[in-house]
Amino acid sequence: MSAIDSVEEINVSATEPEASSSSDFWKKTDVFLENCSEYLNPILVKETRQALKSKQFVITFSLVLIAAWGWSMLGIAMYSPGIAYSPAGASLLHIYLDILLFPLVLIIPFSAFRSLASEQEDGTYELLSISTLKPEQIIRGKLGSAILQSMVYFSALAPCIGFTYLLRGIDIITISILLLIVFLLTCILSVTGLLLATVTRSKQWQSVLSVVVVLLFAFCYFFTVWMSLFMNTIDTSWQAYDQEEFWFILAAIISAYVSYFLLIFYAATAQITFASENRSSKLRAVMLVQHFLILGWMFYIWVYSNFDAPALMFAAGMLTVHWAIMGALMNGEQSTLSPRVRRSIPDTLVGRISLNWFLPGPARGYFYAISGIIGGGLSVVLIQLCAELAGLDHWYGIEQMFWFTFTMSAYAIIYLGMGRLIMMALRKYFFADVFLSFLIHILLIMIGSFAPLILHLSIPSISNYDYSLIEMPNPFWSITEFFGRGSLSYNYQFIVLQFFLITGTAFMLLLQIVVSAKDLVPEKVAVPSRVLEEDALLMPVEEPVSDDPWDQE
Amino acid sequence: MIKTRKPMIELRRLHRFFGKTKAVNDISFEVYAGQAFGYIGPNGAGKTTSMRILATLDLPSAGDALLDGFSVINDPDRVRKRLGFMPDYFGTYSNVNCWEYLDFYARAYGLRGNERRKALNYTMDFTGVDVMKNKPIAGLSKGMKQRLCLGRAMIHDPAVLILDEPAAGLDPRARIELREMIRRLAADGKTFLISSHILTELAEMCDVVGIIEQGELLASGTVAEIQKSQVDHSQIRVRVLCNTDKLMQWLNENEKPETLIADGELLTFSHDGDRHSEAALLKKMVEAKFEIAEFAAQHTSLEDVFLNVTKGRVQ
Ligand SMILES: Nc1ncnc2c1ncn2[C@@H]1O[C@H](COP(=O)(O)OP(=O)(O)OP(=O)(O)O)[C@@H](O)[C@H]1O
Ligand SMILES: [Mg+2]
Repeated sequence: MSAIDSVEEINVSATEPEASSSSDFWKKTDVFLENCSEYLNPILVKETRQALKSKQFVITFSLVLIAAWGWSMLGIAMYSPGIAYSPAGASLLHIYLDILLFPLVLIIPFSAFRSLASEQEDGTYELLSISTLKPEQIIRGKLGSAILQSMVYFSALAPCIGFTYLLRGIDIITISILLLIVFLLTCILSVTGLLLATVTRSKQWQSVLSVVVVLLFAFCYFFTVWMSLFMNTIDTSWQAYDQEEFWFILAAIISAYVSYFLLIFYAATAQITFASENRSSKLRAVMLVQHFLILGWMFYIWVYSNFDAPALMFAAGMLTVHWAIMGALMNGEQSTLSPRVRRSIPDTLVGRISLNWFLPGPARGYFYAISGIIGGGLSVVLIQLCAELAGLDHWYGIEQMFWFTFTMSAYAIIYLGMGRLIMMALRKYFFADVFLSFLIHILLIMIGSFAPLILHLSIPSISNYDYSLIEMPNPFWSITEFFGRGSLSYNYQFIVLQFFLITGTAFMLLLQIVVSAKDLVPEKVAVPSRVLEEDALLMPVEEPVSDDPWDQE
Repeated sequence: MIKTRKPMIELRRLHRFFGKTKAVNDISFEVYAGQAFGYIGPNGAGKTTSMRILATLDLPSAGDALLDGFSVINDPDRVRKRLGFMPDYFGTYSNVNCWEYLDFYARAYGLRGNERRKALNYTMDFTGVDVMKNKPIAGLSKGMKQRLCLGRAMIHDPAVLILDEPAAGLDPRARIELREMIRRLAADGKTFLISSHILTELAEMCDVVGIIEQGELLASGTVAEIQKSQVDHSQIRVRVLCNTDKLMQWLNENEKPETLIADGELLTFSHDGDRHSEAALLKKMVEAKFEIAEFAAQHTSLEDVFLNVTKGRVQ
């Protein structure tokens, strides 16, 4: 630091007069803002500076203002004679929202996508990644700048929206909820844009991806506009704020939103995190939270609907799909556990047992996912059993419930297991990542479902529309065939299917245990002495200050 | 600054393969604090690849690299604090000027308030960026970009600077200025790893050089050491005023040179041995009463050393 210290005098003289002689209000504000910016995310500061100079922002902003202003004129003219008496507020508001949705659902998320993608294209991302900024800070900064932009648009349209409130036909809760929804939509789409930007680093795929992402957000825009028009026609239902269901649904949606937002956020962070870092534990924790959220909502619905079994079946189904998707992603993780992560393994047995499943790697990922599925199935069966023992009214027996959850779990265990084996084989030849793993699982389930169907249709001797045992690999048809009708008959098809599922599951589980036995419980490695040394230096240890002159160097 | 014998940069049997290409194939070397290590090799030798691994931008296929004792694989965060990296490209942002650019990286390295202002002023002053403070970075010339890049790499006062071809595309004056900057920083105790294609250029800036080709380190040491190990003979040119034939005869009897060419008064012959043996030879010739008007020993040039060491293989 000696070089930097030596210029201290120069700097003091360079910065001091600026601060002291500025009696001007704006200069003070400037200094104040500058001081505030110290604590802001560096990326947010940079992107705000860039945005203020960027043409794209100016153009979009002016367009939005012009559209809002134009619509205000038009709207007033349209409803003019009786505007103070007719319920024009709602219609006006919906058009304002549609105008607002254009930057918020299309422009901002796409700029978030581009801002990360272009950093990767221009090489600035690499420069950023070797700074001391954490990946999470990078994503947060980009997201923050998206939120800041959305705030600018909101405040630009605030007078218009305030105006609709003064008119009739709309109340403050509706306005707030609608604005909140739009805002939440911007946030989650922006973070999705950031995640999508990390999918590929190769130039030609980036340009393909850009087109896909534009189309995706354009679709979101048209969909939300359509939704808002649709909402406009059923506007009266929005008045149900005094009903419990409304708030329950809102709470459920918000909790789902938060969990998925976090999932996407951590996924984007993980994508840009250095490979030796632990990129998985946070995601796995969020998955588990989502598991309990799904169980919780469905339990509430089940109680609310007088212990109607379909709510429980639906819960089991949702959990299976949830864990199947997560398992497909976790199967794509890198299989070696870096010494950096192995350092963080707890020392205590309890710590190791509880945290082991959160450590990265496909071996633990697979078993984590299927434990989720089995755990979910068991909880549902247990709830049903309790209900039955308590003599609660039901039309679906514990037996059906058991076979239903078992069938789904078995399919998930077998398909995920196959996916993992394929990934293991692929990884021998090239670098296979999480997205590839996801695609492979999708492909696998599609082949499993459609190949038998094609075979089925090409054999003329069996009826085309009836289930046959050829369809066994197709989980969707098999499950609807045996559980979609409300009652379960133990026909020979069912017995053969279960036979295959039981043996298949047992075989797959055994195989997975064999191939991943040595990876399942990794060993802890010692922290390198150099790291301990530095930590000791950085720790503010209060050493006794000796005033013995012989003690000092 | 006391030079402790603890390596600041240490490559331990570093390997990096891209499919069948062995970009880095078992490279090990150490660079001590305050040293400048020149990394030289032909195109595709693996310089950038190994520097990127050191800069925590890539992972090795095998082996490890340590920076101030920290592994680039397992402690990238600690490595990054100590490292300034100047890649062979320039990362541009649109709508950003030079000051904002440096300010952004200063913030990214966690510098706050006065500390940041000080670092910015020092860096801009040091690299001469302050005169173009408000220029948008999109339109900078190559030389300005290199200055800005160096500024960005040193903004957080790192102990180690890794510069990938910093002198490429610079005019002679800019190159001298760059050399000066590097010298000043090295005198300040910073450790350098600098890559280049040109040995003479590196020899001016570095204490130690390593020659690499096809991912293998062929030679390393000070320039003089490498030169010595490579030089097996020098060419001596003698201008003798009369008796050229006699001298030829004398040389053939006493020295037995591998080659001996006469051209009027000029005799050129090969000679094995160092400078002392050259001086001794001259003395002997004078004592043998030859009228020597000119005596010049031509050592192999650095270019020759480079060409000698590297074989021009392509993979
Ligand atoms: N990302 C990559 N994918 C595949 N091969 C690569 C990659 N990066 C480098 N290589 C190969 O590794 C070898 C070494 O490349 P590198 O860029 O390290 O050479 P260099 O010494 O920096 O050359 P130059 O002097 O041209 O900059 C080359 O054969 C190159 O083709
Ligand atoms: Mg290179």
